[in-house]
Amino acid sequence: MSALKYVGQRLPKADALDKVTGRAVYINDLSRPGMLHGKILYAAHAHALIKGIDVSKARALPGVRAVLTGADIPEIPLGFMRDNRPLKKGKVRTRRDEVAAVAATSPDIAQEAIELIEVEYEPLPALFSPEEALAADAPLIHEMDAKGRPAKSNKLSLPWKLICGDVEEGRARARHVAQGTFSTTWISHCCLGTSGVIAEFDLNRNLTMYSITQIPYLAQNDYLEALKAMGLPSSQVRVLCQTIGGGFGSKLDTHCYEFIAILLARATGKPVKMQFSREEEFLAQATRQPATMEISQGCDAEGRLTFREVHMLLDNGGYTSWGATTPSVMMVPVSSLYRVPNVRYLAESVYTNNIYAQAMRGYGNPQATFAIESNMDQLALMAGMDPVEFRLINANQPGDETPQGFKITTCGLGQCIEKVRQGLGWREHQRAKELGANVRGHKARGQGLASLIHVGGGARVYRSDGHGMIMKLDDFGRLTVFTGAVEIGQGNETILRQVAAEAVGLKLEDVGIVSHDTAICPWDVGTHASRAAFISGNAAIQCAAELRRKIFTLAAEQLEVEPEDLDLSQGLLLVRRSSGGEGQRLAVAEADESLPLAKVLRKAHFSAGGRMLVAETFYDPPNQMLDREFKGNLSCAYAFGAGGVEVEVDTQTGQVRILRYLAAHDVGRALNPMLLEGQIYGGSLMGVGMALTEEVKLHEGRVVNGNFLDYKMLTAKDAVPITPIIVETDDPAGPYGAKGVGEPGCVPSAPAIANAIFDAVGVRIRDLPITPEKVLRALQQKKDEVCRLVPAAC
Amino acid sequence: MKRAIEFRLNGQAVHVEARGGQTLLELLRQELGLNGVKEGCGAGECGACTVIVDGQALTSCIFPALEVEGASVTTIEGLAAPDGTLHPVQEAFVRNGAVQCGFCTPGQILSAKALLDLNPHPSEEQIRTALEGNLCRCTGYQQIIEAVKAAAEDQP
Amino acid sequence: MKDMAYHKPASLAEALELKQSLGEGAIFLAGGTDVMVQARQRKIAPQALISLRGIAELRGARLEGDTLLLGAGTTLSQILADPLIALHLPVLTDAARVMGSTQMRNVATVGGNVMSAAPSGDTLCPLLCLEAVCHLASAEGLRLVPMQEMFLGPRRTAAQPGEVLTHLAIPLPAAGGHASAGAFLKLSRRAALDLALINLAAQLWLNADGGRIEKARVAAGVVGPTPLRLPEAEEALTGAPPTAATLERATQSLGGTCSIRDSHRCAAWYREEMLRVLLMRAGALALQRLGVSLEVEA
Repeated sequence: MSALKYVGQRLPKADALDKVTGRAVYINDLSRPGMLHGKILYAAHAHALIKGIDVSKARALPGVRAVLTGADIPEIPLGFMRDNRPLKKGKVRTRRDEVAAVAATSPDIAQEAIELIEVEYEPLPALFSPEEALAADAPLIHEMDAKGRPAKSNKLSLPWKLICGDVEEGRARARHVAQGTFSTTWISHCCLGTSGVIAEFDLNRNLTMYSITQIPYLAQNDYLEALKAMGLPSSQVRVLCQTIGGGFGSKLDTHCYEFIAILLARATGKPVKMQFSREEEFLAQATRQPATMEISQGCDAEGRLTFREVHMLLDNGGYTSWGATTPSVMMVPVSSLYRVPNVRYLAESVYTNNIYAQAMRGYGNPQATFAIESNMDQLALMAGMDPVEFRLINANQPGDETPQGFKITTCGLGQCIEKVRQGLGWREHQRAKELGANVRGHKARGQGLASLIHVGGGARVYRSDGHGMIMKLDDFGRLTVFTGAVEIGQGNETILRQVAAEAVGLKLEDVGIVSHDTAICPWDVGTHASRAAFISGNAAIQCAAELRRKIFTLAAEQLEVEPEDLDLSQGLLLVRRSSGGEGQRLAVAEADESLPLAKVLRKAHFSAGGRMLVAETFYDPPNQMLDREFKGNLSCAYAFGAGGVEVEVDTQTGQVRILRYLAAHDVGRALNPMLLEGQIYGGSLMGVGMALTEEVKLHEGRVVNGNFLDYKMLTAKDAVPITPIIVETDDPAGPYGAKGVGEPGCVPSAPAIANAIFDAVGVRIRDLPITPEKVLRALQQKKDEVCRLVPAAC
Repeated sequence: MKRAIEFRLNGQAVHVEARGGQTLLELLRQELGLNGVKEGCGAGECGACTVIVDGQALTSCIFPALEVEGASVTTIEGLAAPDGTLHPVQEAFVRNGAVQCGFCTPGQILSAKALLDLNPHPSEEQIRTALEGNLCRCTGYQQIIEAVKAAAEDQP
Repeated sequence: MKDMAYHKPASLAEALELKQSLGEGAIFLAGGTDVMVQARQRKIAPQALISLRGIAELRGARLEGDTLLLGAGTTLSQILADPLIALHLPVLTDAARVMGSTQMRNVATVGGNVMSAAPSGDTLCPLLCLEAVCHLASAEGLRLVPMQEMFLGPRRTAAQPGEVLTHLAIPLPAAGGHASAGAFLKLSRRAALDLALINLAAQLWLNADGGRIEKARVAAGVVGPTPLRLPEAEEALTGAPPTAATLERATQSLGGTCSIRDSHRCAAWYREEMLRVLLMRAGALALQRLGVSLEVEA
């Protein structure tokens, strides 16, 4: 096989030219002829009955074309539990509830109209924590459950329970057991491009959605359902994705505002655009799922894990999006990070009157890993073991089948941990620490490490994990690839171009990608679960094989050779005239003759009974949907990694500074190291933000820091020096050996930092974000405790 | 209340009417069709709307449109040559993987350009300071900083 | 944003005349980083904006004898680039450097910072320590208000509606051969683009032989409704030797003047503790600039 031409190269992104010149068209930049602008009125209470809505003044405002309330629209159930509606009727359950919507000729008029709407509420007692919501006398937030039966409590009936092996036996066998309770909070995706959509009906009542979704085909289904409810059962829907100003999971669900756009477009007969402001984005766009996590783990005398038990309580907020399903991925590290034979996991979601949560990079994994890896250090301490050695003893190995049924094919976890240990200078640091040399004045240095496992070969969270693809050749040997994947900035189109050019045997510049259009491109489940490069890459390889078969059949006829004697490389057909074909790959030098592919294609096209070449494929990876016990091989490859940090803690202020950050990732194969590093840098810093500064703060259900000044996303001045370490394990299931890597970057950051803080100053912070207040308070408590025990020391 | 103003926009003289309550961002996007200027927050807190006015990077979302009378304004649309040849900073962003979703990119590039115009060989700290008002969620900033360094190194 | 009239006078006289004729509905705008945000968020709804950006006499710094006359329209970036300020008033440079972001500093002015009167305004503590005097011009003439009398409450100043802050007159701390230096420190959650959780400036003067602190000025922000001078700290420092122990004593004196509150941005107890840490560190940094090296790290 000849050397790879494009796979593994640091090639610039295909869309970078449009983006650096300001030409890329985001939803924010798009308008349609005759377009109206929609705005939403949000609830003034976290929990209240709507006694009446007076929209007369808003309707009378010049320029207003439609005003809708819950009373004006059909029943369109939304969300994973179908407990949400585009506009709320009768009752509001959160401060982000959509109460009314306006379409007007300008955004300013629409806003003015919104402010003219008068709503009469009767406030109800509101519940702002799962604990409050679980109290016996707590009022019900939803009176009906998902099946339309009267609800008995605020607990959602969700089945998140995983039992592997015998936890009691593992507990009995454990020499050391460490227990801890950890929590994470609401985190905003902070996509720089705010959410927006344009809904437009044509005169046949077919709907076009100018959209920014990460799931065009599932969204299409949701929109079709809504149209049915609106009395338009035979309408078609076309989803056209625009350039997307950041995804990170925020666009994996269809949201209320999209349906409001559809309803307003239908009511006015005009295209209607909804465009969120930043304040709205913080208020109404669902967040990362917060979690309270109780964990205990035990190990035997040799440091081998004997059991792990995790119980989570999740604040579901007022409605259900994907946040409520994050336990399905939290299970991945709970059951399978390190070799642990006995596992019990239980997660409960509870309705509250807070904002609700959806998918966000890692899908629950960063939360769960924070608890697991913090607790691993606690356990190592109890067992008197070096935290790194402890992890190496327990590291997953190739060939393992984990208790949940994951079949680990390739696994570079041990290598990742080793490389991070070396990179940090772990042993030297530990020796320095023994001498007290890590402390200078009120600054103490510490190191910490955390590992990760994540799905790396798709994840069958829907009945199909598939991806459709079409490849079409023109008369000049140029290839167009039609893909269902969505480019959210991660570089999927660039990777796909590289893989397609490589797999078909064309020059990179002769490959173009067409995507983002449900009317043209075949089905794909969505850009989630770090799957785009893996799945669309494999689809491209599969489709390329089909296309090559067609090319060689055609060329063999023209050239009067056997198809086996042909190869295609860089757009040149290579022909072996001498007998004794040895397979399908020919070096150029071996070929007896070569000719441009274009020549063969044109000859086929312009001959009698002309032909043109198109191939299509549907790639669905060989992974399994979890069974009723949540067991099965969810992914056909698993990504591993380790993050290591060195921090400096200021013991007077509690401030934590990250001096170094090493991010080792088993990526299978780096298809494009430059883009891969981009995922690692970006994911890691997002993880650092989650660890140290980021939280959506709520006061009685109201977001109090919904702006970029008060929500502390890190700046270039804060950016941590990150060193990516790429470990290649060449996964047999991956395209050219690659595994998914979109999410893993952010997974180990928080526990690695928490562990490093403990290493530096001996306090364990269990609740994210790790603010200076929390560190300082813990240091004071530790000091008080020492003083109580050893008064002479103070 | 509208007023006619004149200024230089990407090297060309412009005559346009602007309103008292209008921001430069609104003028550029709505009246002049320059959609490369992005609105990320509307409060001067994210830098997506950064443009250069008389050599200074500023956030156009909170800058009064009428203030540019007589000034020279550069937006992302004014950087590449008409034939598509990129400005060295743009070129460096492409080559160093500094672009992901791209929404913050025009602002980042203009902040970098304003820096390099004043200080052709900045330290890393100076680069970070120049970019501190440009939030990015995708890249972790590292490849952006590398791109600015690369653009500086390519300068005479 | 609602439509409004916009005026850009070329002289101070013209600006004052405009204000007089337009009345209360007109507000002055310097850099606009505060006014424009508030107007966009509809926290204010002015009928007219009077931009001060066209008035050359409000810009820049110049020496008049032992006083540095700082134009209120000088941007924070211009302050950072000004060699006179760097030489004489490093405490002000410290503060300008950490305000907002580069884009913000390119536009925001020191006068705007004073007139916005935010409890967290970073240049305010240095100006309090430097005992700057505000020059307020109006149709009636010029009124001088010491910085210490300028702040009445959050976003409230002693300036009358028709008055424009034209200059800040800052007596040079080292005038008359005194050894003086200052330092400013800010604690925030991010390294940039952030408001102070608490900030503090200290300006110290040593006596002739350097053995005593002759005069001390200390001011802190976000410890009350306005930036505050901390007289108890100043008293504790005055007359004492320039040592870590003196600074330590000064930190113990703190408390009476401040009214520190919990907010969603920060807990009160933490601000209280950090007030002491910042005083210690800013004091040490100021002394370091005076050539006195203490075992206190920043």
